[in-house]
Amino acid sequence: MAAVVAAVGGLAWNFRPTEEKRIRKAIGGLAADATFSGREGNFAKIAKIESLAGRFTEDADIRIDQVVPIDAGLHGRESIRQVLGAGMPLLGSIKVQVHDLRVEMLDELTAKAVLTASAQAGGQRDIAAQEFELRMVKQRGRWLVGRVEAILGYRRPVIQ
Amino acid sequence: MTEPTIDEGPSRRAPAWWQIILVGRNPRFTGVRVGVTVLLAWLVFGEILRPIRVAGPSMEPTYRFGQVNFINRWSFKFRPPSRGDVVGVRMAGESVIYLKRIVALPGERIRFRRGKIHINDEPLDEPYLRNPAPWNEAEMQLGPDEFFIVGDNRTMSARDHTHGAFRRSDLIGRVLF
Repeated sequence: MAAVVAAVGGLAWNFRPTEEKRIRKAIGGLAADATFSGREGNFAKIAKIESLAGRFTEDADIRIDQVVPIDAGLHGRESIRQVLGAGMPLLGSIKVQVHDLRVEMLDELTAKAVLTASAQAGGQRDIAAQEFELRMVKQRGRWLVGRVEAILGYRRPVIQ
Repeated sequence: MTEPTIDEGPSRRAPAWWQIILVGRNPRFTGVRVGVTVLLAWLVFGEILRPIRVAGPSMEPTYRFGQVNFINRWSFKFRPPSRGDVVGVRMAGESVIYLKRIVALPGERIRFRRGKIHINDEPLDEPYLRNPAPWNEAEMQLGPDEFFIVGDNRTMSARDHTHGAFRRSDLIGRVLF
């Protein structure tokens, strides 16, 4: 009897919801929302874009100028929504996946996540992969992305 | 007078058919074999060889999309990375690995001039190239721990092709085949 109780207790402890698991789930949801099959209707696309934008804080800061030629980056949920709204319909389909996710709790309400994201556009053989550092912020009980920074783990030559 | 008898000991029963299927005629030997096999598989595929599937055109025509290969993680233990090696380069973790070729070594100067690589102002012979595009890039001085890696497919634009100076610690190992 004691062994059964210990086993059940061990399982419950193992599967208990932790903040790290909630963050992993939030980032998994981000990748799922960024994935488009190409068969969605316009309303479904808009709903996904809304859901995706809603995963960022109001003052979210996206810094990917190291890898994409966007000089100023993106600031705020509204500008993210606009860019997604303008860009997503142009893509027929895209599959986004998250790999090697590492989460580090900074305090009860903030965490750092480092991951590699890969994206494959429909009909393309090439897979784009990029390493990112995310600052996750807990707001109203929900983990949101407060900052995204592309990490360039190597030195690129200057193209002339 | 009694006749001498030979004690044959306890009679040996033949193992049941289900026992033969599950653990063989000699369970102890079977256990040792399973243990050795598991240990070897863990050592080879968990510690030494990292299976990969090529997913991208940057190493064509040397390595084609969909090909399966292995990265030998122990290869640099015995011989340091050298020019011409095709190596696996990692990003944040080991799930996404770039497959590229080392073309310049620590301390060297490298530049692309009209699609041709120059190392310390000397052109590099690259017999594996097919129809390279005329890339032009500024000279780069590699640090003491940096290797310059690039794919074999230079028909594509330089902007679309991940290449540059990577640290030694980012190189996982040589490709096996």
